[in-house]
Amino acid sequence: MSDETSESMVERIKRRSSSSRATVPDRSTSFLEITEGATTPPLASPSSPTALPKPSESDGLLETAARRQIRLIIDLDSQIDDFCKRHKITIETYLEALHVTCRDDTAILGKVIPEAKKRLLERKKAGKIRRLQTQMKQDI
Amino acid sequence: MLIISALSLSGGQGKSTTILFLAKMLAEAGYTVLAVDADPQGNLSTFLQHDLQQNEPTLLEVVKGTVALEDGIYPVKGSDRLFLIPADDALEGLQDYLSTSGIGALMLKQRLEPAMKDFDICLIDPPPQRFQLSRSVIGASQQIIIPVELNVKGFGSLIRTTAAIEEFINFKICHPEILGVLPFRDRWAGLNRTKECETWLTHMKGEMEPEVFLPSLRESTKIVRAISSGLSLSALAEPGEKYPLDEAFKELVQRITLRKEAAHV
Repeated sequence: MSDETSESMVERIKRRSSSSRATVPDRSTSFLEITEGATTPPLASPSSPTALPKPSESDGLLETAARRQIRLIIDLDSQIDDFCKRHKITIETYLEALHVTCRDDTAILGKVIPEAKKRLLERKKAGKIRRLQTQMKQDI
Repeated sequence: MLIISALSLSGGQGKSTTILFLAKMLAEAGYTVLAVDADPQGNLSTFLQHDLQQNEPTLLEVVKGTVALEDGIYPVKGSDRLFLIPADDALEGLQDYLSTSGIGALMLKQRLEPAMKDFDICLIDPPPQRFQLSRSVIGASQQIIIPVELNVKGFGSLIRTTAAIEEFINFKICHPEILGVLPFRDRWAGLNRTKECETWLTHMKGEMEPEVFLPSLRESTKIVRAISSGLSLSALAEPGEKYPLDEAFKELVQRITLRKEAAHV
């Protein structure tokens, strides 16, 4: 048995903390996406079985960032949702369009930024109160 | 390091269970054991209570060579001598990588090479299908245990598995030895084995040398309890038990010890 020979790798593995271990990009365990690196192309839609874009054609396609979770004030959440449905757009594309339209308009930004800061303060205040209420409940 | 796999080319034959109990028993016997979960179902990783994070290296990254072997090895909780290379569903992505590699059948063996001097025994739990990954497991194995249920499916699995091993030997890819055939889910009624189990065991023994067969593992809720509680079969054994559940594994440990000793001579 390898008491002497197992010193090196085994001992290093035992001593290793999780922060010193190499990390890898999050693995996809999706049943549909598992064909990454496949030699056969992924399934195309039935209407266009050979219409997959070549890599050079897909270079200029939009890329989206990782999904982020946003939480809105209840009444505004339903208002924005209705607004987007009415205009057949999504909340994501609405937010993107608002930003690109307003970012160069100093007059509008002069109203938007103070409003956003006011809302941030209100949220922080509400958060503190909720935390205190939870602590009080636990103390009781 | 002696590389052993539990190969059976059908699902539900007892591969992960064999590797789990054998790994624990060998570690308790003082061997430094590396368990390799080569099944995308990740049952062995779950049985060994490994909490895998999505950004932690697994066998997928080790075989692809995107991380060093050492980065894919984790200590198993509660044991000083048992280590694991885990897997999850993403391991399915390895099929294409191995298929396009010219040395797919020998890739796993090559990736395990840096651990040869550091571990005494490597136990591999392969997938049940005739996948590229199963070929790579056979290509890496020096010894193979064939777990089989005592029924028609188990008989079919024994035939397919031995044929696959023979093919590897005939093509001179590797020369694994069959360490033992482990009959699983052996059902008894009182003092007699059920007719079905007796029939299939007789058929199986007609296919291979009788001495290769290990004591059978009787169907028991204790096995399920041992898996879910993380205990070894020996820990659940009762004093004076007529048919101890760990008998087959004790026999396996003996066979492995003999081969380890022979390798040192």
